[in-house]
Amino acid sequence: MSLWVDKYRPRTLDELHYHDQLSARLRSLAASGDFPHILFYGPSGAGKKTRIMCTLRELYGPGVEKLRIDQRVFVTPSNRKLDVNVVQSNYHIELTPSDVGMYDRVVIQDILKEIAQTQQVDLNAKQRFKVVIINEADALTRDAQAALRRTMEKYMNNMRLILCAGSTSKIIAPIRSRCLLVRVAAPTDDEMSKVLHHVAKKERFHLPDPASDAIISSSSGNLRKALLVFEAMKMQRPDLSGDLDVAKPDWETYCGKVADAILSEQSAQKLLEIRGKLYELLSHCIPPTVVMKTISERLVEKVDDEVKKQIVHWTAYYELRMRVGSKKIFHLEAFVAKIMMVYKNYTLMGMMDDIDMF
Amino acid sequence: MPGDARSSKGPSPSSPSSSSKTVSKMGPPPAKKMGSLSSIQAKLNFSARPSTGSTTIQTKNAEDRKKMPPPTLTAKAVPVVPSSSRAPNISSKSAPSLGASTKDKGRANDNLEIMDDEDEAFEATIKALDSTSGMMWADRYAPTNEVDLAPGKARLKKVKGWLHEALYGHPPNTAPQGESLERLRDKVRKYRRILLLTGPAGAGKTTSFRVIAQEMGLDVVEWNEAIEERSLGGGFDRESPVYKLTSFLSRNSFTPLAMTQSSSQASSSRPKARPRILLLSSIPNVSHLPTKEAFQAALLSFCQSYTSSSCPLVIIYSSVGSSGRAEESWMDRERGSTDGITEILGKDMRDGPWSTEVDFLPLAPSFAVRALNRILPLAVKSPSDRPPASALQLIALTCNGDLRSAVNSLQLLCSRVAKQDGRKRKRDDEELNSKSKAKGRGSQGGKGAKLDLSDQLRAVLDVVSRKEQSLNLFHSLGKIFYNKRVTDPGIEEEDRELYSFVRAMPEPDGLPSHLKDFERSRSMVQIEAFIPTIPVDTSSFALWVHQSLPAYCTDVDQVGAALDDLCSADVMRTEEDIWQSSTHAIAYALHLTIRGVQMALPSPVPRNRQKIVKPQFFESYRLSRINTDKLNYGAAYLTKKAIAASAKLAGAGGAPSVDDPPWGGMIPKDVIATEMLPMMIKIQSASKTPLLPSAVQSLAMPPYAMLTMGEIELRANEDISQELSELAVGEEESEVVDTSVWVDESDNAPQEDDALAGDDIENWD
Repeated sequence: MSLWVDKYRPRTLDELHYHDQLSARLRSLAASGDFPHILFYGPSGAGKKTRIMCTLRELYGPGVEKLRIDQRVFVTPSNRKLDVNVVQSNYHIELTPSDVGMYDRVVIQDILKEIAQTQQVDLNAKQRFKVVIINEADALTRDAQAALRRTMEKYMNNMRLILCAGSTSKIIAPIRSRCLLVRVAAPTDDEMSKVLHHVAKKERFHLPDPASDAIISSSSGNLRKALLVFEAMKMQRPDLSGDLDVAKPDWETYCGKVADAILSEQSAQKLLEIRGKLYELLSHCIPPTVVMKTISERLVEKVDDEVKKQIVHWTAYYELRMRVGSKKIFHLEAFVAKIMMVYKNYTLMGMMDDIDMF
Repeated sequence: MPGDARSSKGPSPSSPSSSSKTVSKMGPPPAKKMGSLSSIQAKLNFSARPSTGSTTIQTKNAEDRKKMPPPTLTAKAVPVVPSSSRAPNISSKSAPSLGASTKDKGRANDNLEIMDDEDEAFEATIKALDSTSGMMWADRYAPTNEVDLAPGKARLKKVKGWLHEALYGHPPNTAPQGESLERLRDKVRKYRRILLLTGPAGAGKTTSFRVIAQEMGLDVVEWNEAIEERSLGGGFDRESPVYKLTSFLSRNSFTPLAMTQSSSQASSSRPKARPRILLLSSIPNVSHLPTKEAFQAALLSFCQSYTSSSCPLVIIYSSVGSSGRAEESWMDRERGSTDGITEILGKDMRDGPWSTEVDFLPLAPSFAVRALNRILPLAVKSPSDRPPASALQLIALTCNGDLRSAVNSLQLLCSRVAKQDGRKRKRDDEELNSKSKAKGRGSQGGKGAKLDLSDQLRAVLDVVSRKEQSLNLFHSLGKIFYNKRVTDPGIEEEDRELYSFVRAMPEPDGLPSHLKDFERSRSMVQIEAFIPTIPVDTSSFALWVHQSLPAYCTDVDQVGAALDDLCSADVMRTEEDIWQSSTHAIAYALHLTIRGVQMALPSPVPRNRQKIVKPQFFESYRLSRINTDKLNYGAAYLTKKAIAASAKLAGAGGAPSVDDPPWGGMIPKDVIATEMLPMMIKIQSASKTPLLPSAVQSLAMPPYAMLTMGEIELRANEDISQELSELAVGEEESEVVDTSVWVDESDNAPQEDDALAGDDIENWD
């Protein structure tokens, strides 16, 4: 069995459900024979990868789907060995150099040199160049990006780069200017509902509108998440009717409950209790920044306007410190304590106006 | 001559030259091992023995003494520890002739004279104190049978079972029937190639193995890096240690030929010849990459080249991080303990089926006490010379689970205790009894205060163990959390002195009115004096403070303020540049931690029996590392599956099939952790179709329940001393706690165990 999110992934540019203009442009680019380096960017779950794969298929035909996975070993100047998983076909190679952290420069240099120095051997290939897909390009170090920049100029003949990033803000200007920037925006609600209904039709059942609305509103423009939630809901409640309970990931529910706990009582005891929950989240590999963001979003939903500003302010403040610091729990907890203080002061002030609050 | 009696016991200064050989054999190793200890010991021993020597001089050479320098000096010149082989030689040769002419000779002869005269005295001393006989007790009184071994029974059983399986192909006490034995034997033995004994130094790895091997009647062949083989052409053979190891493994991996035959013939009964087992207790320098590769390759080929006559290998590896030491940060400790050995053995070994790891934990104090109690009667014959039981306990507590160091400490302690004459000791005991009664609640805090120890003994122990400080963790945390200030009502007796001292300091100027919020009365914690007594590093200390902090606060504002300072301190020295950041930053961070928390805490802190608890951080960190591995495994699984499906799709010539989705590209780790896996687990549990490998299932979050304080409260109810021993030592029991954490999670994935059981050993062929 495979997930719907995989099963109904479009394979060609024609099958894509939204951003038609973009699809048309990509198609003409692939046909022109003058394919540039491209930087795809846009939020998670908007369909960047899908579009990249479709473009590749447009460039090389179905042969590009014949994949294999390799584990490459790179040796750093300090003689450390790095294992990098690489997915490749005869025409392209895909890698995530940021997996190796500060050594990504080595990986970039070695891989690109290797690709660039080998000519395309397949005479039937539609294109003379190979494509290198670099995932999470915005997580590359500056060194790696600088290395990338040199190679982009040098080996243009044999190789094209496709970078995939969340945003362009962390990509150095020289690279941005050497790439064609392609923004893949998150799908609108209508577009998402179109996709959901398409899937429902393929799976041969009817998707009631309230269900589709609930899914869309809970997934905030992330189509991957929407499809996962959709499938989970369908599995849990096959008729998708009545009192809908959107199947959220457990950790999100967790964060929501932490937020509720913060608002329910502001005391040292409650803080201890919340600490246990935070530890639980962290030990399940949920990134601390995501935890903080989710809690904060939930809080903002629930409080009065005057407090919202404060919450956002302190979230930003503690997230910055958390990135620098090493013990994430300190910062998460300090954030929680701060919100408690703010909220407590607010309710105490409120008490002066309105005694009935208690 | 009393030499005969002594020669068996070990070296003694006046042994005849015939016994000097044994002396020289036994002499050097202890001296080498003792290292830094020996210097201290020499001093202590010295003060114990030469006193007897000097009395003999007084009687015999009274005349001489007038011209001579004080005998203590000369006695010092004589090697004090009788492990030296030089002294007895000289003395035995020269004694008869020189006896009369001492007076005319210089100092050198006087030495000899003293040596000679001292003989009898020495004899007596040695009999009284076995401690001076030049061998470390840890070696001398090493256990010889399994009952006496200090590590936990479960581990020993594991080691024993493994050895048995590796040699005979079935667990001990279960003799399979003749038919299946033959078949099973090779199958089992094939995967019992390497046994890893890991654990901190002094946990009893080597000793346990040796004792078990001896009891099982095994022939242990040890590889030693230090062996220099001389080649035929003269000069040293300069082949690299790894090469030697490789050839050692290939040379010795088979039992001697004669035995091969006997074992293959005697099918069901035990082979008569002693089975052979290889032991690797030192590992080549694996920080050198080619060496490491060669080492790993050697091990791998050793594992793969199994025949029914090859013998298993035991690797003993002391993990670097010893728990609870102040010098190491928790990060090093975490990394050192688990990554160490797998890093060294390499991925193939770790993933392969050949090796089994038995991890020895640091010894729990109770175990260490038992071991010390076993040694003590053997070492010190007369009960009156033995140190009190409380001293043993203290040694056991401070040894950080290192039994070897505990025994060394005991030896050193006894060498001193024995010197004091009985009467004085008695007086000491009385003194300390009365003292401890008067003290009431332990003003020293920590565990040491509860033990009855005289100050003198404590001082000795301080020298002996040098770890006495580590008793003060709870004491130092308490100092911070109780946040005593001069204005507190009801000054306690123990604080009187400090109180008047702080009182006597000049009063600081008051703050202006807009800063009145920050005004606090003077603290009783003298920070400059306090900081050196903190037994753990800054980073761990912050974690301890953080964990117990909320319990001592009355209001969330106080917690918030203190946490803010902890955060600021945390930012000063970050994980990434832990080596680059200046050492001052650590000091600043510590100051900020202490001062910030003291500023934030209420004054006076309400005392309602709050307890200091162990940071959850370590457990959480450990879990997150386990889960990260699982996550990586899950990600790899998804990628592989997707690629296989995609390749099928391409092979099908573009005809869309239902179950082969196209390749959607690599998915970032965060997305897998936050979106893919949680949702897949949900879908899977609803649809009852497996989507993920069983190992990944446990990544599911346990249900959110507001009352998950169980673990904390449980620990909080425990005695503080219990906590301490857990800090210093991972007890056997702590394993039970670990598993209980997992119970609720593994409940979600009952198929996990099944799947593991289903992992047929044959899959590896």
